[in-house]
Amino acid sequence: MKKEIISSKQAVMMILMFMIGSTLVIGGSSTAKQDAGIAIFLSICMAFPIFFIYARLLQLFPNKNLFDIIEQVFGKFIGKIMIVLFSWYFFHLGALVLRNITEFVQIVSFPETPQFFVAFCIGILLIYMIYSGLEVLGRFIEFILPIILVVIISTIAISLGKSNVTNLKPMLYNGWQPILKTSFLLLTFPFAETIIFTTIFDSLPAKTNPYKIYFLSLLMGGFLLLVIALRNILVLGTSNIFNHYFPTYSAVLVISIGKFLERIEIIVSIVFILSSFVKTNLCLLGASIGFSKIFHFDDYRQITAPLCFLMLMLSFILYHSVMEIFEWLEIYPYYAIFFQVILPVLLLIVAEIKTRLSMTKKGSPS
Amino acid sequence: MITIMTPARNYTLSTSLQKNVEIIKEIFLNDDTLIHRPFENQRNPDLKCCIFYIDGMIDANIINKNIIVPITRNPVLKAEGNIINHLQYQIITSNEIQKTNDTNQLVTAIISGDTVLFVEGFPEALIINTKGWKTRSITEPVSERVLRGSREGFTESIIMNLSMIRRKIQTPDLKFEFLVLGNQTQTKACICYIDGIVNKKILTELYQRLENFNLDGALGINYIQECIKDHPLSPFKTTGNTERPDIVAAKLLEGRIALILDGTPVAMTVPYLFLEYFQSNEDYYLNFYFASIGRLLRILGFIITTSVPAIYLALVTFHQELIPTPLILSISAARQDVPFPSILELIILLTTFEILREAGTRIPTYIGQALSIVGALVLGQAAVQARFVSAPIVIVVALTGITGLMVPSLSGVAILSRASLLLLSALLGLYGYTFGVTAWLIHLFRIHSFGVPFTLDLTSFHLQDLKDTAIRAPWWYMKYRPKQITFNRRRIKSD
Amino acid sequence: MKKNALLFSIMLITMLLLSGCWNYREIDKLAIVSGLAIDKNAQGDQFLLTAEIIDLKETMTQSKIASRKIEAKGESIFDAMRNMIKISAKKLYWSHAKAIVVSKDVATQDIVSIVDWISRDHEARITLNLFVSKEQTASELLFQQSVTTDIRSFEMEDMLMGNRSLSKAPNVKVYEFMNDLSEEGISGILPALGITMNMDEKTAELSGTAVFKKEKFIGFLDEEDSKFLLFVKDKIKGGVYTIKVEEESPNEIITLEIFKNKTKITPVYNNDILSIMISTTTEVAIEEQNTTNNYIDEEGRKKLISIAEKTLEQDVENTIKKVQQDFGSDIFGFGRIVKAEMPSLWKTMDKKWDTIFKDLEVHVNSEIKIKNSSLTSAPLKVGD
Repeated sequence: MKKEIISSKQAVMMILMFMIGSTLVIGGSSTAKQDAGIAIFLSICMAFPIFFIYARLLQLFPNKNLFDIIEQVFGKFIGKIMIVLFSWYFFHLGALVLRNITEFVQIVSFPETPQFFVAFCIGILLIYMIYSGLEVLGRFIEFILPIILVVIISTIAISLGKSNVTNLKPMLYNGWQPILKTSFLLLTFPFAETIIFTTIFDSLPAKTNPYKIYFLSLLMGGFLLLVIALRNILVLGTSNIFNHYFPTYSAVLVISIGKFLERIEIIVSIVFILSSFVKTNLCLLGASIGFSKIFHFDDYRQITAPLCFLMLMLSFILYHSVMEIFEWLEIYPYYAIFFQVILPVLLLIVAEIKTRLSMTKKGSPS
Repeated sequence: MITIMTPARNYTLSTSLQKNVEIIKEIFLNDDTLIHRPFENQRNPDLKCCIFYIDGMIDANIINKNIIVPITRNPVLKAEGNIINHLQYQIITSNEIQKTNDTNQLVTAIISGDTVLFVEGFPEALIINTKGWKTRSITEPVSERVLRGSREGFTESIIMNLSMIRRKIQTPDLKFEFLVLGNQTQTKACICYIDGIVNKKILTELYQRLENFNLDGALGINYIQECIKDHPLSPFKTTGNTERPDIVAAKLLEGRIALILDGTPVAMTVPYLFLEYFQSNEDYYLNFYFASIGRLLRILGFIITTSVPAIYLALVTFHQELIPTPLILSISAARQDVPFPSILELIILLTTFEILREAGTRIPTYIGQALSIVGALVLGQAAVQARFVSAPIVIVVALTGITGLMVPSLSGVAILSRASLLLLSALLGLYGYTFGVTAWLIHLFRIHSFGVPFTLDLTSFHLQDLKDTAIRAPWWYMKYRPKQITFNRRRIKSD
Repeated sequence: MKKNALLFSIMLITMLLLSGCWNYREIDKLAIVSGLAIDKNAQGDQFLLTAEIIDLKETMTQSKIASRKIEAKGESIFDAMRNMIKISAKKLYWSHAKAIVVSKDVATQDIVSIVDWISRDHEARITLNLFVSKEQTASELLFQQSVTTDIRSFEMEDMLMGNRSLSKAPNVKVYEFMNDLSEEGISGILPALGITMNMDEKTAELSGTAVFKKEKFIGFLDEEDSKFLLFVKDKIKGGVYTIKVEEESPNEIITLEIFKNKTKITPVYNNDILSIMISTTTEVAIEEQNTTNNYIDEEGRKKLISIAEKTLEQDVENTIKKVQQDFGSDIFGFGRIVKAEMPSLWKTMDKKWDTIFKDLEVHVNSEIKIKNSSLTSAPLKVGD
């Protein structure tokens, strides 16, 4: 099969889309209240070293994906275990994102429509997209992201008229603790979730610099999230943000310019759906690649459809109610940090040692 | 007809004219259009000749004046020596003449309108070009009218069509390569491209696909298009067609390849990209502002015609909170007492519109007027007054219909996508619509036309690539040809 | 393989079609609610809801939109709303509701449950307008004669919109009220509605502000005070300000039209005493005067400005004092500003803010700029 190639521009756009994925939907920055901006800024700073790890891994093993790297570094047996762990994580993450969006649709628009149905529709699309391949995903994102950005930026621009600067003050009123907590959460959701891109960035053209892609998208994505969080606080006020499950949605709900430019929140819902779709798609892609590696399929597409349906099933049994989603967000960072930081660090250390050793070995006989 | 090719293989010509004539007659058994005309020289009746041709495919004047008269009236001609060479080079005044002893070739020549001349004593025959059947004169194509620009349209004659292209691009780099398509029809086809601009990869790809073309007939360009299409089941066409030589010339200059088929006034161009649907030949002859506006309008029209029914349905049946209050009041008032659900109303009316349209295209124009009166008045006005349908739905369907006519070549796709989006909207409101659009987009992005992504330039936001897509930039600004299609990108000679 | 695909697609299509369209509802099957009035019964244990729904049956024959009212009782607001279906037969649809009027006793006891319902329910929008009725009940406001539209609630919203050039009642949306309720150092206000006579018929009018202390309604501010309240809250978008120029002749009145106003509030902490500095900058035009004195030339203007500034300062301070004494509720949000500007100081006083607020010293400093004198350049000369 022909190897698929995505351009580095598409790669940056993919990461951007992935970051705003379900973060936009369920916010995740409410504990820091008016200091959400600081929290996001901090988490961007914390994300830098982690992104460095990912980029370094990709640079050490060009044209290899995460699973190939693991196998090469840890060998068959331990490698297999790690691949299973990572694949599970991607699979689980996909189910979480899927559940977030179906829950959102149910609460906001369709209380009577079963979530299963919405999820099923998304599932069909996921399978179609993954069968069409990574290049199609890249082009799809390249087409859809500018539209999404225009929507987000214009909603921000028109809702600024309703902003109230006192909502942002006083800074650091509740001390650093909630800020740190929030920034830790934001680090694991969404920033460090980009570990998933190490599984597909073997499709980048040979001479691309992974650092540039990772850092550029981190800056852009972080800035976007920062602006959105600030807008939400400015427009809604901290207590509303704290009360609402979907603050970004509520912030758009209150837009009303004249009497004609109002009731536009559906556009934001659609943005949510599309970005979550892309995020789930990447998760499913990562999981498919991982599991096909374990079971020795030549083509990850063979395993996508069953995996997608399993993902749907998992997303139903994850939570009983929307309350649990937000309770899970409390635990999630400690669960995710294992896959996002601990395992990659381990991998990088062993990989560095091995490459150094082989370099000296190569060096010595000559 | 089937007996033409196969038995001919076994025949070998003899020196006897009589035998040769019998051979040909046997090959064309039961074909009464074959004419054979034996004749001799006036002074020297030993010189026996016989010509074969098919009635209706030749120009009788040429045969009379250039073949029969010179041979019969020549006072010095004698049946000695290598007379057949003599005839070929000195006597017969025809621009194209060829000697052969291959019966297959003779048969092909006769079928294609040439005349075959046998001479007593030679196991060979001369093929003389006498093609001359009635062709349609060059007229302006009805479906692609322009206000400014050339009024020529292709005709059914391949040679004439090629000459029209040749007259527009006078460079030796313009190549015409002939081939024969269709096992039975043996239709002549010609691949045109400009060497040095064309992408060789696409050219070889086209040849490969044409090699696999093995239908028995190629009566229209669509026979070929459907068989060599990239994604056979896709509603989008990945090969373009046009009736205008100036469009073909323009596409050739962009590095595309044209295929011209004998017997059809339509040429095929490859590769064909999605945005070409929205390009009109007029665009290049008009001021670039107006051309760009026209193009944007066509794109908008396509979006409207596919989306408006679905969005309307989603809004009035799922997302009533999104409709401005005054509007929801009037829609709701219009819907009071209407018996059918909105989705059914829409489906019925949209189908009715398509029926009217289809009926309108197939009937003579003078009945068309009556049809439009019945369609507009009876179905529209009366249905609303009788409360069969609500007035907003009529507006929606009318808008859909009118915008659907803006890009006629996309109307098939529009019907399909409109229906699918409508159904999804009925299930999940605007979310269903979004899912539908996503699926269509995935489909658009995954198809290719001869190795070139179908949606090339749709996703890139580089200024240089956008120049001839959604808008039409001024000519002096379009320095490069579309990438991936061409081998040599620079369009304007650099200083 | 082909067969399976066919089977799968047939299954898919039947599944889609048979499963029905859960949230599919025809627009004409909905009773569109335009507004709601909430009362309590005499015993105070049940809610009495009066919804105004738009009557579209009538629109067909009269080509005019009319409204009808539906009444229902219930233990809770949501309960009462659902009980309305018993009467209306159609499901009530809340997304286009524009106004909710509550009676005084509901405002005193149950404003939280109303706000809570609005922010929870996915149909009701958080941009609704809440009003407090000055009359005995809230529902009677829905039954008054309409002047501009036939739908009472739409008119209420329009009154608020039109109030931009009047500035005699606050325009507070539910989500803003919600914020004020839950924030420290600020108390909520809502616009108040009363009944007045117009052409011998009763009609509803906007009349001032309903003042809350935390979640309890405690009283009304009249229209003039509401204007100065809006001055403090920097919500003045327009309006009229009349001043008496000369002390000795109280009949001489000059009317200024306000075009623009900017208010800045700064807390000052000096010698353990907290005080609030309010400075307003207002752009006005001379719109009407009933004297022949010239206030348009430079000298007159100067005089006018200094008098206007002084009276405005006085008026604002009076209003603040009134609120401090009568209500003791920080509807200006001074506490919020102190918290924003001096968080460490706020931490020491957030518990006892109510008492601090009552004796809080407030200084007002006004600046008035005269933009123009409308179309005339000099006062009318009355010839002898």
